[in-house]
Amino acid sequence: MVIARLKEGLRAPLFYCALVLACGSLAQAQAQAQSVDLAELERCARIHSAEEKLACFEAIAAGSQAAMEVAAEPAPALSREEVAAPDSAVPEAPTKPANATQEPAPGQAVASPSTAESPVIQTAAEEPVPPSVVDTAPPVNENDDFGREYLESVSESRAKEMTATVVDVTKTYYGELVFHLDNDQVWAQIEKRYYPYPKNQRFEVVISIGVLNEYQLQVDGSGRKVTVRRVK
Amino acid sequence: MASTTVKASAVSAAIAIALGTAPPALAQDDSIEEITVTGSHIRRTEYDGRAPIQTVDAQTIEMIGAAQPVDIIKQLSVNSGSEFYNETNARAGVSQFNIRNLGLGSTLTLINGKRAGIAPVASEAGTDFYDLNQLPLAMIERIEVLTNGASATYGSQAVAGVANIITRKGFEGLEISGGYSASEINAWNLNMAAGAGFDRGHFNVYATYYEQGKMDRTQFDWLDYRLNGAGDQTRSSFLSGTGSPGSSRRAMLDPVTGEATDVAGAIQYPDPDCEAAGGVIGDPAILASNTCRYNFADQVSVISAEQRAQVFTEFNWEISDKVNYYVEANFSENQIFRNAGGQLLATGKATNGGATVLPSHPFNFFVEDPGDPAGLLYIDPASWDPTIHCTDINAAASCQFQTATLRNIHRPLGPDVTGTALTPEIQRTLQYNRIMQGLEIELGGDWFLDASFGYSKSKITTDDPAGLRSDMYQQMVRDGAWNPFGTRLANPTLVSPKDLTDTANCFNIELGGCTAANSEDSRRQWNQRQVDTASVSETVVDVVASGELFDFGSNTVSAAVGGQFRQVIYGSYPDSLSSAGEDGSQGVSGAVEGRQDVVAYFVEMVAPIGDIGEVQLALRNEDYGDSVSTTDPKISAEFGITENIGVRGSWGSSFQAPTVRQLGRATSSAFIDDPASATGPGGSFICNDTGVTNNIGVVVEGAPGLQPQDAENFNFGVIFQTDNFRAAVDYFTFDYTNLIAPEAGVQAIVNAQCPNGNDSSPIVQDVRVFRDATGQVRQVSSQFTNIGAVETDGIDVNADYTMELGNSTLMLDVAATYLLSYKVDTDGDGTLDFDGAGNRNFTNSFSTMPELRANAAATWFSGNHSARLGLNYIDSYKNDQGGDRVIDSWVTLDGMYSYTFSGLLGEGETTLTVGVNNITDEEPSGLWANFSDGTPQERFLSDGTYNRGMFQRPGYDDRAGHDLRGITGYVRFKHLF
Repeated sequence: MVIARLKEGLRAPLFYCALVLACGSLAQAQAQAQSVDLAELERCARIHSAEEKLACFEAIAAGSQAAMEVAAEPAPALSREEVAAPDSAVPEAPTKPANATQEPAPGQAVASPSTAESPVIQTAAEEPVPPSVVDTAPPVNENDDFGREYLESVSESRAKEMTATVVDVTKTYYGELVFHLDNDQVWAQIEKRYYPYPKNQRFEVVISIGVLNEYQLQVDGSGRKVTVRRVK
Repeated sequence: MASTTVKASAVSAAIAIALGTAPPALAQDDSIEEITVTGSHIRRTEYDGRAPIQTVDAQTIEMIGAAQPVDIIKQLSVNSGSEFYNETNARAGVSQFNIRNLGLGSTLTLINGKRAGIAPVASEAGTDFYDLNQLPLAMIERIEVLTNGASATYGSQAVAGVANIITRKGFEGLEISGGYSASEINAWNLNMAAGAGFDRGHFNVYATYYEQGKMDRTQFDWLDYRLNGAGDQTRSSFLSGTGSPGSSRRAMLDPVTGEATDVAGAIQYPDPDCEAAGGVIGDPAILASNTCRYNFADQVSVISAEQRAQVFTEFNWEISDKVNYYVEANFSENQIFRNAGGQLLATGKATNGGATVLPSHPFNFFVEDPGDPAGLLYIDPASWDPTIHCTDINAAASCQFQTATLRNIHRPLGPDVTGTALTPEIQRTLQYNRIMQGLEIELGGDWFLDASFGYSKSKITTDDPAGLRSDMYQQMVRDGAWNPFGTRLANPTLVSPKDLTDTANCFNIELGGCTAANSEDSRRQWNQRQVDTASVSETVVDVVASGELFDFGSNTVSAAVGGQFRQVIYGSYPDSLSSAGEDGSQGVSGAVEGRQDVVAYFVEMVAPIGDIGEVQLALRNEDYGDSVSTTDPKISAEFGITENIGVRGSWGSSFQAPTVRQLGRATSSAFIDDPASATGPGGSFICNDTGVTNNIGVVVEGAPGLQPQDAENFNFGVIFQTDNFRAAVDYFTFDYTNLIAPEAGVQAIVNAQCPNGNDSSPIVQDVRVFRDATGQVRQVSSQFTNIGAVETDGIDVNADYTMELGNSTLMLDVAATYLLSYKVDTDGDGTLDFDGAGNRNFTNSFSTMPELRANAAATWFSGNHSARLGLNYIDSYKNDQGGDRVIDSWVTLDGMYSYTFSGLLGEGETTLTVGVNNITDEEPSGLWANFSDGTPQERFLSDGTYNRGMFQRPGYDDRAGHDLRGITGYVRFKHLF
């Protein structure tokens, strides 16, 4: 979407002025638009369920509304004019997948049935917002995020492991071990297998992600791992 | 009922128990998942484990060194009489449960609570079972064996119990394992298990490849010694009266059939080249010496070579919060290779069997004895003079001797194909397919609906390279185109010295005449592949609704109700040779097809009684059409008496419906002792037991209107449990009536031909017994009927104790089943006349039932080490086929050790195991026999010669669970990525 708009925009010399202004505003916005965090947007993008994804973005958007209004003050008029220009790029959060079929006219609400990321775009478009505020990616080059969803996979972006202390170990009826952690999480062994752990004491464990995205728990110091699933 | 959510739910629900929180605390989760247990369709949030279920879990399976499912079955003390080996080929390559020895069809096998399928071969009695060899070991998380009747819950076959195979559903990760074992046979296997969860579902795949070598009879030293004459072939038990080469009698051509018929009082002569051609003349002290015999010891593989490739997949997808779709699909192919030896010519056209040899045959060197109208003279080919020895004595004045017309009794191929590199192999291929899919729907109000559709198909293809085109073969012998005499092997380059007017039928003309050896081309004209197939398919549609019915005080009464439709289709398609009566066996076998539709309804209720226990009621009706239907109730209860002690009990009725084969026709084979022999005047059959054992065909015809077998079962048990110790003692009793069996056992039918024992009187004719020309029993037929009953009771004991020693854990466990009684009604007159406890039960329709089976083990875990030492015990018992001679008890010791490395290969865990089973190299107990007067037979007779009657075929008990392989060493690796 960005590219398509950029292409159109590139044809117009007016675009270059807008670009320079956008860069300037961007630098300003950079310092102030902390409320919409890139990492948060990335986190939302990785949620598979459509409903939850929508809710996630809306939550961010709700939080960023205030920031946008604040950031909008320093350069309101000029940016709005630029946004109103038909050829200028409608600001979008860099993590949206580029959807070339959508060409929202600037300032107009975008009907985007396919992706849930669009609501954020809608929010931004409905309230003409200086591109600098919503565009929170530090690099100016919008191309950088194009196709990023193929580079990032779930396992690469999220935390790879967690360290915690086991306060208690119990057993299920069928004999699988259940590890109760100090952070109130409870993880259970998926299959009943013998696993040596320090008895009658608290001990440190590291839970990491295995080759098929399974969680493996390892008593700190022992090499042995056991496949677990979080149950609470 | 699907326990598809057992894995995740058992964890989460059992967490509730472990955490001490009541289930409602977990109800924040929208779909509270519950456990379904073996024996009930009702989902529970709590399960206290008081039903009599014996569990073998994946860790135990590894630690006993199991390389295939048969090894697991042998560990169950409640199981007795499964067919582990099958020399006679009918059930080679399959294995099945047989709980309480109530029959192969009296244990129901389930996968995740649903019917698993039907094997394409049936038991001797025609009952259906599930072939456990088709499952990859890698998929088994545990096998739960419920040891009481459960037809009220599951329907037909759940008489003695239910074996529920729970898969490793929910397994995540990738695991590769494999092993190699060396013993009398060598075997190796490679396994894979993989699983991954994704957002709304889970996927698992398991695969196994297994291969084992072949063992023929003479490769077992102890078997060779027991039955093959202990080095003296003339006294081997494996000698057939139909030899190759064979024996000849003077004959004339019957004016009606044109085939040979014996002259009055014809004397039998063995082939003069008998021993030179690999035949055996038996010891005249015990076997008539007028017969050239064939030693078929190596004709049979006791353990077949097998190659098994198996895949099992399961997948579930939560379509929505309330609907879960699940599917299981598996495929298995098991190829079995066994020896085939020389086949018989049972459809010989000569009167009384055999082939007609004309005087013109190039290698017929018998001439009529001028001095004895019933005798023959043999002229050595070197002295053959066509001017004196004439095909027609009247043709010239110089002719002094008339070449004889012979009735030659032989089998077409013998030593030419057995025990050589050219030994043909019978290949049996067993193919299994199963798909089972369904929906679990949460209906609201704590009610669930489970609707599933399952289809399984099994097929067996037997490819026998030793098929025989009977008519073609006999025509070639008549034409002189095939040489059946011993010269073909003893003197293959011998050129016929006869004056042959027509040499077109001979071979190797280029050598200047007919030569004794037969060519491959001629053999192929009559020796053809014979391919038989049979298949069974089962379609099952299940609908079950379960949930909470009402509250009763502080407890909730749950219920389940549902219905099932099953359809079984069976088809047997023998080779077209058999359909035309053209194969080597007797009679015509055409295609057989059968179908059975069953509709069932059931209802079940569980009512907790306060905090101390619960009562479960179940009722099920199954309708087979044709006014055959059965309704079976069951009531069971479990109570905790104190914190550590609980009791459980159940009473119910169950059934096994007649199978498609039993309503049609079932064929099998058996070993029988022949009380008669052809030792009477003129070779007639008289009651003179010469210790001959034959392998015979058994045909049992069904009768419409057969009723289901009915059982009444009562169980009572006491459980004692503390933190470290658990023990359960269960008393069981079964009263099993209306058993479907042949109206009489085959041994009994044959014995009835000599009602007065060994008195040399002529045998009583019986149309059910077919004997061939040499007097050997070839086939016995009878009919299925509801006849007979068995009453049995006994005690199961299970206990295990866990000790923590510092950083190590030591577990001791013992399991034993002791039989108090096993009384059989063998003749259907209503009286239990036979005590089968501690008996081989060969003379009735059951099988080996020792009084005591026990296993004990000590397992030790410490850090990365683990080890196990196990002891297995099978009690001694009597051999009713051998005059109640005692078959020895069997004690074996198994040991294993394994070590787990972390990070040996990459980041995963690698476990290496080394073990030895049957450390003391126990031989399987011998199948001893007594003389008919009860005195024990000894290995050597009073004159010092080898006593071939001491052991009965097959020389070992193939139903006891005695391992034939001797000491077995194995190594195994497992890598978890």
